Amino acid sequence: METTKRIPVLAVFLGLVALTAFEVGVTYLHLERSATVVLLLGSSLAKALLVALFFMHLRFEGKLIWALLLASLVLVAMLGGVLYADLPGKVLG
Amino acid sequence: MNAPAAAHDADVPLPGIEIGKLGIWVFLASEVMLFSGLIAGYIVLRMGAGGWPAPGTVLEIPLLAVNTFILICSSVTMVLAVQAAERREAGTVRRFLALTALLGGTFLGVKIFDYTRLIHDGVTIDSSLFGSVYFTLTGLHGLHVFCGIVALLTLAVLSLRGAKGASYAARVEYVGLYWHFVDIVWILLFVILCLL
Repeated sequence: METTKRIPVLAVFLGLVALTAFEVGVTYLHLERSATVVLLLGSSLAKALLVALFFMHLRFEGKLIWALLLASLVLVAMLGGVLYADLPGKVLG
Repeated sequence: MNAPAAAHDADVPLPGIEIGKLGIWVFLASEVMLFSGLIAGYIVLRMGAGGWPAPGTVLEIPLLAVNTFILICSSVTMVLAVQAAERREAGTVRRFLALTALLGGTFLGVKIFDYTRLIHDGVTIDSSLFGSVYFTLTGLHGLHVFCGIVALLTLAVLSLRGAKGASYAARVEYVGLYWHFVDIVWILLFVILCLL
């Protein structure tokens, strides 16, 4: 406990709102499909990281919590790898 | 770490971490796998589908963007509730818990409006592949939001009945972790279901 006092709440909030506005803006720009996918996925991952690192205190957690999370993310990556191998060269469309 | 927590840590196999926190993180890790499996299913179905509605043609992007904003705001009020619990400010904790629950309820209200509009337009869970995926993923997420609201209101009631101290603050923190996780899931679903 006592870690939340160090969280830049307002900065994280503004970052999340700005990235959400960016995502909606990108959708209406009608860019090339692959560029849209990269920009939107990148933005959503950045938002997820902001919430996890600051609001969920991951930035201040010990190795055990990180190891637990990384174990599940490794499984997710394996799932993604299997999908990618099965569906080569495609972008959501 | 305070003395009771330190003494409690000595009784668990993994000292240095509160057992409750370890438990909630194990639960969240399992939730990561649950949603990952469903999202993987969505990707397979979408890539195998002949066509898919373009963004904004079926879903109301501005409406869902506002809902994203509402859930982000609820994460902020949850952080403020956790901070107030650490400071042992019972009244402030209850106010922010209630506000977080209210924002969560507003999110669900907007989702119900969204569902009603879609069903009125003929998009249901069995009308198309898009409908099946959209209602399944957002429905499961909505169920998680509902469970979070129940947990938030339970914490508020416990506080009204006099719950306080390190143990209560830890509970608020655990529910906060769950609530932020639900926020992260929506952040991802908003992009992959609504904008791509």
